[in-house]
Amino acid sequence: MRYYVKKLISLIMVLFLIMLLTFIAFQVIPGDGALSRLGVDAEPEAIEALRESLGLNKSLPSRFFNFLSGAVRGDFGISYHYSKPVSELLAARFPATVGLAVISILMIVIISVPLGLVCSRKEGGVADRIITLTTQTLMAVPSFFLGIIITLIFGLGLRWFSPGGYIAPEENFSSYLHYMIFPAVAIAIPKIAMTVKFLKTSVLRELKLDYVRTARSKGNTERAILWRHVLKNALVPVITFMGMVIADVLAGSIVVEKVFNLPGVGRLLITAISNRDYPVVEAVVVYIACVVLFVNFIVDLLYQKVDPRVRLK
Amino acid sequence: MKKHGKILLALLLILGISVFAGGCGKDENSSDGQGTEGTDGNTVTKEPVAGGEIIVGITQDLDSLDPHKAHAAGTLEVIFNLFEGVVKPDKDGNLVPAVASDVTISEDGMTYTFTLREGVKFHNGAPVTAEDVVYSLKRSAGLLETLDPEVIVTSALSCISDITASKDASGKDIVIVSLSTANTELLGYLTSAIIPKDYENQAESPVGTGPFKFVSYTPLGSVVMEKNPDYYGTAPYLDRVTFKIFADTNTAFMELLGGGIDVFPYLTSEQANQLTENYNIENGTANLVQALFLNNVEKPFDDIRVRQAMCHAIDRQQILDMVAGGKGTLIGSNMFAGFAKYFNADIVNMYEYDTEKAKELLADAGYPDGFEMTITVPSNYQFHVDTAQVIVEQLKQVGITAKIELVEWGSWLENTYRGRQFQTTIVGLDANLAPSDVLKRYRSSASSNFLGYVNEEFDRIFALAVAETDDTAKVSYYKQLQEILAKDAASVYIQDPASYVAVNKKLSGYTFYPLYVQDMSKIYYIK
Amino acid sequence: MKKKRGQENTKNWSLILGIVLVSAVLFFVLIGLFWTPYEPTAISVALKNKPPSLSHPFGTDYMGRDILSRVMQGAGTTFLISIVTVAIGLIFGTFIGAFTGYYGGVVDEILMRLNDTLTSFPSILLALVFVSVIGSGKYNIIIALGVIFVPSFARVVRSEYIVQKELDYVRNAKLLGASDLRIMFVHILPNTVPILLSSTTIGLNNAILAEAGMSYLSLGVQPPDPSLGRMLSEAQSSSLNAPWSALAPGLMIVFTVLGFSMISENIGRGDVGGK
Repeated sequence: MRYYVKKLISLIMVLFLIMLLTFIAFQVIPGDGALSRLGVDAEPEAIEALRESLGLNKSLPSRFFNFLSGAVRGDFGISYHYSKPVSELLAARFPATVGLAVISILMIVIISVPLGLVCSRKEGGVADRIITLTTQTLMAVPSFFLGIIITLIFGLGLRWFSPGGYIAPEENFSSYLHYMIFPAVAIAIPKIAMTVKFLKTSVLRELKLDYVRTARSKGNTERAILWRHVLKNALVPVITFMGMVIADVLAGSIVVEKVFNLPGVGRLLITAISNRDYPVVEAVVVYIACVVLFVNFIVDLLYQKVDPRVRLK
Repeated sequence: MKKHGKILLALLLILGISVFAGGCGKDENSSDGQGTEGTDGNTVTKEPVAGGEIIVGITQDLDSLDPHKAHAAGTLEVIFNLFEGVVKPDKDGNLVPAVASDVTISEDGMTYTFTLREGVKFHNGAPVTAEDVVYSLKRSAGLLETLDPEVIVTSALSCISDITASKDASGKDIVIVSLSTANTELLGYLTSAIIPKDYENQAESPVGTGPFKFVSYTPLGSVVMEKNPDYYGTAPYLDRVTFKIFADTNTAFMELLGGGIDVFPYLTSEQANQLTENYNIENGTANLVQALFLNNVEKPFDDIRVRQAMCHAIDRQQILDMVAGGKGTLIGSNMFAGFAKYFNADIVNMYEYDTEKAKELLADAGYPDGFEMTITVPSNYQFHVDTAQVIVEQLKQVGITAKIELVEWGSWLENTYRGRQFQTTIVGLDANLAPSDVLKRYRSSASSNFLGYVNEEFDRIFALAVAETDDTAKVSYYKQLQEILAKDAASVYIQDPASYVAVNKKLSGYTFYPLYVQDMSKIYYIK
Repeated sequence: MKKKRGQENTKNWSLILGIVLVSAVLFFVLIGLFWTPYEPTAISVALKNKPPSLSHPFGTDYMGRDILSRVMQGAGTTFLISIVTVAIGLIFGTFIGAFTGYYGGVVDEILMRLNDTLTSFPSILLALVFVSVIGSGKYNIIIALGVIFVPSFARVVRSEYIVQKELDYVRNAKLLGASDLRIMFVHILPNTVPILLSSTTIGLNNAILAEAGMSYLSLGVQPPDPSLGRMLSEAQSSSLNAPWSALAPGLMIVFTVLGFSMISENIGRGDVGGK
């Protein structure tokens, strides 16, 4: 119980910090919501008036605490740019981002764990060589580039999907899935490559440890050693890595969303930053922080599950 | 093994490319099958079919659906289909009656009288009344009692003293706009949308009088509009138009190739070369003044000789060939070519490309070995970034070392434009359909005069031009103003860029305006 | 162990291949520092989008610039940026991870929460902040990228320390009176080398990709100077009529990452760890 209380406190701590940091960042970078909203032709008086009405002229602390008190009640205010409630804008982005995340994470786990194990069991064999070479090559392809290649081959060449298309899940769930798969592949491929590499390194290292030798000398088969002893220990760093990947993907893949023109959180964030739409940026950042913390929390729990030496304090 | 790896990679890449090329091949065939019959020539002559729907690709999200709150060119060109002013521009840049059926401007340029067209209805079915017109004009002129700070008040409208509704001798509704100072070209600013009085929901569900009416809008998604069956003018052919918002031109181009969009107005020249046979490419001008703007108060550009040297050192034709496929119109001053009536063509080549002359001028000014300078470019415009790269190379020839600094649009607005902290910058400036709007930023006192350009003669003639009632005299004043700018080498004026529009071969009727406008009411499917 | 001979064989082969790849790439970059066949920024209308030929082995790009020359120069810039970035991430990440993992408690809590904060902070926003504070010079992006890279290294190292500190050899060292610092950096650190090497390779890879991403968002190297990332993103607009624009920078990235990863795998497999 104390553990959970502590987690909750740290959650609040991080959320506060991240909101403060974002607020400060917005003071540092040039431009503000009123300027971006009114653009080149507006007279200085008009910009001043809009600043006044958006509350941009209030003192720094009062603006921050205004926002903070709203956020505590779950109200992130009104977008400067869209004049719509921020929560509404954000909610509309979730289907694309979360769908993308779930599908790509599934792909990563399903594909990379078996591949990693094959590589480490048959180290030096043909399968290992092919897999290693392929993954190491794929790892080196930037995801926007991968996205373009996928679009060219599967979208324009083979016509398996129409580039730039997107169907909301509530409209037609299977079309939605159809449109999600290709961007998910673009996200998953480099991450699969990295996970395979990570898992392999980790398993091989465990195999060298004393307890494996002991187990071998006791007459256990390689297979049994791998499944019963090694895998559990080898998974610890992999889980850490996967945690970071999951957080990354759930935070909205800016580049892939851009290449595939998906209405996700990443694109909203980019647009909001360039519009200096402070309330939207704060809300997105809070969302990302929640995702990161939640994933880390799960990762910590998993540590304990796979490796009893790790205690939750 | 290394060799194998290499070959494998090369194969993979080539495979990717050839599969794609195969895809293209198939396209051509299938399009032949569907038959776009007819020649590649002018498509306007083909017979229109009423009905159908199209998807138009755009690359900027809307900044507001409320026409008085929108300012981005990318928004105005879309909502042009939803709204109309008392007058509206036609494709030749003339202002034609819209919600008003008739306009009279008094001899002294002090009173504008609009006779309202009978039977005009808003999209919500309500008839347009004189009160609505007065309200709309007052709102965009900032004359309402309670001001909404988000409404963009055009500064040119500040000469309006009052707007009233009345009836003329024959009992028709009229609206009278009275000015405090004479201005004969205010009409160009009075195109602001007519909207229903006291309708609160304009930003969510806009209501206007245009040929199309609003259906839905998803931020970063799309804007959908449908035919307005009650439109008083020529009814549009299409039943439904969707403007789909893309993250950038590359993404939109991919969807264009996939056949997902029918009209794409922001094709780059590079993309135009890659387009498959399903599309016609329409050519026009973008109606922008693209220039290397020089900070006239910052060293070394405070010296006219340096500015003139810059003009001689930059080969504008090479820029056109390099970044715009050789298309586009050279300009010599801050006026776009599409505004033909006022465009001063005589000064376009005032500064021939001549590196020797440039070096002489630089030596005269005390920079025989050139100098270092920075070109600030907003990073979201690849077109300007590419232009900057060409200029950097050209300036090397005269000993000037230029460095490019990409900044984000928000930073450009605050630091470069408002803060005037820059040496040189490349952007494209657009304007309203009034010559004074194009040139007004060069007045010494203008808040938008980010170049810090000062010339009393310019100020004097500008005032005369705005108040002039005689058309010929007015035109000649504006040509004079352009000549002054060119002589002073206020900046290096490059071009009015070419605009490439991809239009599905099944469609016709795409029309260019001397403004940022995508007129959907003229597009139709051909038989 | 079974198949020992076979393993040794592959090991040598892939190590050699890795070394060959990396030295070829480095050689290429080093020459690029002093000499390129053409001026990397020289433009030409006549040479726009020309396919590979004898005079331009990798073709020319959309501005008629020689792609080989640009890759030679651009690769140097990209490497410098990625190596320094990873070094920053590795050094700070290892220290933070070691302390937090080893000691746990309040320090751990605070540092890891800072870590979480940094992870959640959008990297574009961070890069924008750095650019507005220190300007957008060629190498200023390194600091922003470096900061972004610290948390991932810290988390990986921390999770290693959490496991390792409970192992017998650490207990023995403690009983023998070794100081905490000694245990952390003399006893435990060598055991984390395999994972660190993996992370560094992946990090290097990610840094090259991050540089590309930043260039894609116009925050990295300023044009007309080339970098591999900038070249890739510029190639996007002519992906159909000049696909070779992407080939050379793409291959360069692939070879580098492949080379480093092969080397690290072999070193990592050596007997550095496991005392």
